Amino acid sequence: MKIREICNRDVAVIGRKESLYEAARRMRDSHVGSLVVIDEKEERPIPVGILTDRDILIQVLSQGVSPRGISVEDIMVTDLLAVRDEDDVFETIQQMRKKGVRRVPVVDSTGTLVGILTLDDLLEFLSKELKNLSGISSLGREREAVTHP
Amino acid sequence: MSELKVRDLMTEKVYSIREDEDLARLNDLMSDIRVRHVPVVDKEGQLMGLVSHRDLLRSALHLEEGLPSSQVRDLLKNTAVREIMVTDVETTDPNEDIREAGRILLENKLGCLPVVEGNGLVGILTEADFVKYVVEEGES
Repeated sequence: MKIREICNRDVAVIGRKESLYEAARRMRDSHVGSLVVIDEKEERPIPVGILTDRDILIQVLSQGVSPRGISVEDIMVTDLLAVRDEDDVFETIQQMRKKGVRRVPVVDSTGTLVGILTLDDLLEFLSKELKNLSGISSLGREREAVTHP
Repeated sequence: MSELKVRDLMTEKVYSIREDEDLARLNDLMSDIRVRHVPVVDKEGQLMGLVSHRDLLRSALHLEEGLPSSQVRDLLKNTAVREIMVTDVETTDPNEDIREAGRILLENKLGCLPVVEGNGLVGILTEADFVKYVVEEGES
């Protein structure tokens, strides 16, 4: 199974120069716990980091809150596991476990962001019965990637 | 920041589930409300444990092995929340210093800290509440 068959193409993103406040607001509005940080190269989103709600928690605890003074690139994680949409799912899971990460941005052959893969998405995909019970749509179906300006 | 207490950040409207309810009902709750963690309570509203979306998925996968769909559905309806919940749960109280609670939350793999008074559930604290705090501070 290829990553592109199950990854979530609806990715919440943010630019590296945006403020922590903007990042927090976007997480809230999108109901997500992470944002993929992107640079725009020829209008294509290129992942450069990831920012999670846990990173925001750490920031608040250590430095207090001056949301406008801190930018995304100050606290994002840049050591990204690079995952291609053509990669094999199970090999990728092994890599994720080795690295201790639960979510990875997914790129195509040009390095453009096309989706995100989380371990929870994978579990949900594997659990066919739960999908039927709650009417969760098949993750294999392609949806338009949503990128925020 | 040093004066802030858990009560200042916690979510008071916390969705809980009774330990004797079934996994199909738990699944409905998690899908409808879009929560990843649900505290489990007894008839008196006392905290019994915690169940996560991942616990639910793992149980469903485990139950599913080699079984036809119809049987899995029945199994989910016949499996009580108490059979999959985590009982050894860290909690905090509303008067705890937010730094201390945040520290526990960081160390706590579950990413969710039920807030109790005595043993009665009064709220919940997750990373999302800290994100909300940053938004509110930024807007004020």
